[in-house]
Amino acid sequence: MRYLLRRLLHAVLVLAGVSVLSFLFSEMSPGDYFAEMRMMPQVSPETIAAQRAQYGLDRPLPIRYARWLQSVARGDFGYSFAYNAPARQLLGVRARNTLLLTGTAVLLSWMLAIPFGIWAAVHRRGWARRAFGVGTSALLAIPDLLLALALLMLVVRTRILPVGGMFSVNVAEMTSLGKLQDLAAHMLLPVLVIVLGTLPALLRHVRAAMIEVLDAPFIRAARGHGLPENWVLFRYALPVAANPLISLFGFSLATLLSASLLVEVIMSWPGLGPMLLEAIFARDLYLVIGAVVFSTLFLLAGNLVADLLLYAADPRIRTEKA
Amino acid sequence: MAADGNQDGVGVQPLLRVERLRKTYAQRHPLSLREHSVTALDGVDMVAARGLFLALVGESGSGKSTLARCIACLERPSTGSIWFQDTDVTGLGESELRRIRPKIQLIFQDAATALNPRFSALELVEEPLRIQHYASARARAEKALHAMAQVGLPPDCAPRYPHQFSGGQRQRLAIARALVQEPELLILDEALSGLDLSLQAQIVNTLLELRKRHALTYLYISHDLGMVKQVADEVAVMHGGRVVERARTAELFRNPQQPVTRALVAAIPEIPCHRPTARSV
Amino acid sequence: MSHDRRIWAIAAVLIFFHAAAIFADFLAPYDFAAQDRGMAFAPPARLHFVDNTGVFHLRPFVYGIKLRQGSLTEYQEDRSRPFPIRFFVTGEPYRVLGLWNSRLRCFGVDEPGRILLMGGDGFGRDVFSRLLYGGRVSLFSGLLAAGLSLGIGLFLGAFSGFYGGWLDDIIMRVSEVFLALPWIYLLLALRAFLPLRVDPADAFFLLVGVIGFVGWARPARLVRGVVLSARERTFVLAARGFGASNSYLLRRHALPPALGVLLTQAALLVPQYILAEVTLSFLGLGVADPVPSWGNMLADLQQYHVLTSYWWMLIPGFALLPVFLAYYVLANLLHQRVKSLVL
Repeated sequence: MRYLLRRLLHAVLVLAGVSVLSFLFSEMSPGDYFAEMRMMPQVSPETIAAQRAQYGLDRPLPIRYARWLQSVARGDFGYSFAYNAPARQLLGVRARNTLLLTGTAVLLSWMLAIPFGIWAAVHRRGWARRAFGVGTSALLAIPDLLLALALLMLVVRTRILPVGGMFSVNVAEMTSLGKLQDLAAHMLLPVLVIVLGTLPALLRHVRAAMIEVLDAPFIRAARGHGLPENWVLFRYALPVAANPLISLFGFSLATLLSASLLVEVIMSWPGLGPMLLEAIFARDLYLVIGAVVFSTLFLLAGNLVADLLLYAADPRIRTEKA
Repeated sequence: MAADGNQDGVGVQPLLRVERLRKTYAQRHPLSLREHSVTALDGVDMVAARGLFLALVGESGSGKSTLARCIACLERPSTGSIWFQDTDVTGLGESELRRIRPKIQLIFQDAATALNPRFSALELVEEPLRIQHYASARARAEKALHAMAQVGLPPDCAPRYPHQFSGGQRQRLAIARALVQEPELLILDEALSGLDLSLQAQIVNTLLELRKRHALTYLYISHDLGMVKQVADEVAVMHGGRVVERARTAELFRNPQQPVTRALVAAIPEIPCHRPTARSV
Repeated sequence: MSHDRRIWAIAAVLIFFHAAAIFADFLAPYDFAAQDRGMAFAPPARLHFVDNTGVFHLRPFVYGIKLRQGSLTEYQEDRSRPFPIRFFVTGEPYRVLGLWNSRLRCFGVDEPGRILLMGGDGFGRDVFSRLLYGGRVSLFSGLLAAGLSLGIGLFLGAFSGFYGGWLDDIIMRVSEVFLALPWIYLLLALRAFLPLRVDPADAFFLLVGVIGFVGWARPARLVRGVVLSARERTFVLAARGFGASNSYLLRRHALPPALGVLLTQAALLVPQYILAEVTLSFLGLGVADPVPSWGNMLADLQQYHVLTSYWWMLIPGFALLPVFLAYYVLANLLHQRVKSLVL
């Protein structure tokens, strides 16, 4: 129990650190949203000063940070000047979309990585090893950018799937099932690209973890006792291999979120990625900070889930003192 | 193999004097507020004259290694003082200590970890000279080769790496490395424990040779009383962080006073075959 | 081939790529900014060896192209006049190492012909030439940024691991914050807080700085780990016994084992950083037109009509493949080599 509390505290501290870091960086930024406005001769300096005061941009840094922290605690992420709407709304919708995409990608990659990784670990000799090595190396070398563009090119030319956005234009007229199908169709390509990008590394790690466990003496003992292979594999080896794999899960989330950003931009999926980009170009710094903090939140939450799983799965952690 | 040249006479200042040495380690668990301290040395008093072969024995945890490191100035005692040739080394700063360090050298138990595996034998033996900015590269090499020769390592060993040597040779390298600084006090912290008996005997003979040649003083830490009995001039027994008994070797084994000593002496395996004693060379 | 030979072989391949970029002035037939609106999105030139009359020529040649009647996007060859490829031609001037002028180009065709080996972009600029020039930005920004990250990581990791104490705590906490963020978000955020429009010379160094700065955390932790374990070794204690100073111990005993690990890290880091530059430039936050980077050359592909009709615009993306493969193979080889070292 203390283990979990410690992890939670740690996550909160890191989140705080991230927010402070973002704020410090934003201080170094040479302009704010009103930089554009200042260049317009018809807007008087007084108006701009008043606007700045209204949004609290004229106060010193620690005060701005404190105010921001207070509003975040209330659930208010500030105001987006570019979109002319409360940031929270925007962040919420976009975050949900990113979560949908990344969540599905995470699920799919792990569902593929575990069985294939185990298979590769069991059949680690001969042709299987070569094929595995070459296959994963080849996939690893392909940058996500290229993969996304190339697959998009293919899909657009052949018109197999709808591309761009989450739904088709006429989604309002569809039945619930139709909407779901439409969503799935739009999700297929982005998820495929993300999964293909992260799968090779995952496969390698699963295989490596399994091999390490399968070489352990207690497995030999189990086999020596005449236990059937499947039993040995799934009831003995896999639970022990789960420990490093669960840690890997938390770790792989960062890569997944990064991969998803690019994919979202290229395939026009309305997630945090494209929003972050637009916010950057519009110099909408509060939105930028909000997007960064949100993505960190996802990451930390994912890590906490991994810690929970670890706690549940590994008895050694449960009985650890303090 | 009892020593000669042991100046136990009145009026001669001892080379080493340890007074009321205490060393405690504080262990703080990062998340708890409890402070748990371990007392390794609990008031050690000891004197060693020049030229003496003093053995320090005791069971594990009696504080032998800690004492060795304190005397070699690798650890700072909590209280007490260590006098080396009329200088209180416990009070010295690092730069002043640098002048004293060559004179007190410590040979560790495991030569494999005490020698950087990336250094060649010559580089290893030379290293103390490099650190002290001794003369030129050639002078250093000469001195190093000379030291190696004294411990029985021929010059063609010089370019080889530690993993290419045997355990006994590695320990000789460590001794050569200590010798190259012309020390006056050599502390051997269980330095021969990992070696087989014949090797131990060989190295001990070398040590005795060197003592004669360089007027060295030895502090020989061991838990092997069999070897101690044959080699040391005097024996000091440690228990619970203090020296509980001290006597000349023959006397100690004949008439152990303290219960601890008696237990240690009794534990020596006796091979019930005919003498002479193992004078293996 | 022995292990070390393989390492050198792969290194040679990588050096070849980088050399091609450095000598872009010579190897590329055209300057990276040289436009020809009449050849906007021209397809890659077809090399011919047999002319209209069926005669075989040893020297390949190309035909001029012009837009097909009634089409705005399709080209056809104008077979009236062949342009043989010549070598060591005079092209647009450039400066060698910034010292002296030259006009010598590796190959080209006579005016008014234009040889676009990999086709033309929206402004009719030669993709092949821009690929070579773009390599300068993309390949070297990755290399330099990796150097920066590793440098910072080495410095901080060494201090952190060796001296410990509160310095170590602070550095570790800060590194955790950096590692907590998905790196593209961190990269974009940092880029966001810097001026949007930078001229190309500054842009390059800005990119190197941002990318390099973002990635210091992992190398630092790696170095710290190695230094920490080395610090506990008996031979370090022994060296202290000889009067070694802290800086000596760091230099001669604690850091050397870290270098092997760092080298392997470097081989893994460089492709990531090249990708970072390419991504930033692709998104419009890196090097700007007309200076080519493999990233901004791909940016046009965000328009669907370009994506579907002009496949050669994807070539800069494909150029990344051999580079990445080479680096990964190198990393693998180095990893095995370092593992076999003692310590």
